[in-house]
Amino acid sequence: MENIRTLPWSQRRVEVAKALISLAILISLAVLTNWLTRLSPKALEYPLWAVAVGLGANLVLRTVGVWEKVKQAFRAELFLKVGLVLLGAGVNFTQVMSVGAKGVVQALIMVIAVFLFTWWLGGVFKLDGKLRAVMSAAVAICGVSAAIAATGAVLARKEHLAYVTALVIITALPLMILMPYAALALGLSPEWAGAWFGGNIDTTAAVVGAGAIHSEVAMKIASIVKMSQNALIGVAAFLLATYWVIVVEKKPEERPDARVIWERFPKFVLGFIVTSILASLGVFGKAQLADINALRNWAFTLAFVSIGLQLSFGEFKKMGAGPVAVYLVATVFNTVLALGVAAVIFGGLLGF
Amino acid sequence: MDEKHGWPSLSSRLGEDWLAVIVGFVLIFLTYLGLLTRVPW
Repeated sequence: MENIRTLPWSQRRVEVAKALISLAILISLAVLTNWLTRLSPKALEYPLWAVAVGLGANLVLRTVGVWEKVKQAFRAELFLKVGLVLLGAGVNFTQVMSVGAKGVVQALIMVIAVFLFTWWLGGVFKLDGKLRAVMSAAVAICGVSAAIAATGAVLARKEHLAYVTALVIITALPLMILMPYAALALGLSPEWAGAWFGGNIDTTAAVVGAGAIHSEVAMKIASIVKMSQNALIGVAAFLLATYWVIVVEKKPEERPDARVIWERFPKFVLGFIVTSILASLGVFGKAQLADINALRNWAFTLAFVSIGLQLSFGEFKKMGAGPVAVYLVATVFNTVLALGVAAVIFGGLLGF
Repeated sequence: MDEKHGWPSLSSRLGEDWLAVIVGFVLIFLTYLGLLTRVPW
């Protein structure tokens, strides 16, 4: 779609009208989600309803043939990031620092181990080199954003990104639902459970969703751990691009600029930190915190509904069995390893 | 990604991350000023 500023006025009005209709649909679905959550038993938390409502609406809009015309406001990532900035008000900055430091240690172990495992497995299945790089980054770091960064780093094809994005979302949804119940069944502490979700599930939205289904504490821990991992995207993109041009393409003169580390840094994490500092300084009263909490839940609901609305199964038809097998095996590896690493770092297994 | 969605160009110009930070801070500021109260959930 063209940038709206380049369109003539008459068409601009049409685009704005479509965006408003899209937003109205999204908000109505979020209100429906909230209503269903209030009516349902406690175990059915709002992320489940939101995704289900989004998927239902997705099916209806695609069947009627209007999905393309009203998709403008379906922005899971944007609403999620707004929610995470608001989440900062509910987390003490000391906790951000202590959980964040542990989260970085966990992220370093997980990112290196999962990246190398997926890279190796992709080689066994003889996947295209660039697809291997994009997939390894997506499983190891943080799903779609890492896949986008890796696509840029190795100049992969758009189809590779589309495949991996579809895989990331379709895998994250069952994990978002199953992992919190598995954590409850295994009797994990909220800290351990949160670190497990944050270290394993690829998309940040599903990490927050799994945390919210489990408990408020798990949601906060999971979000901080995931953001620690997200913060490594720039470094990973830089290292991957450097490896690619020097080792694979053998063009050392095209060595990438270290500025990519800042360019790829998820800036919303800074918003989360500032909000957390303000809350820790006692800037907000009790009633204000309750309102910010409610706004955060609305932002997350809009994000989860958008996930359901954005899901497309079309990419799977174009993909062979190889990439799917690699992704699924890598996800199982990631899940088991994250459970163990989170046990050591957050579960107090070794007395930390 | 923004070109695909075509939502008003603010997101493409600022980047999604900074747009999220601004929206989040505006909501917090409105709450701080008491203009957004008793948000139902």
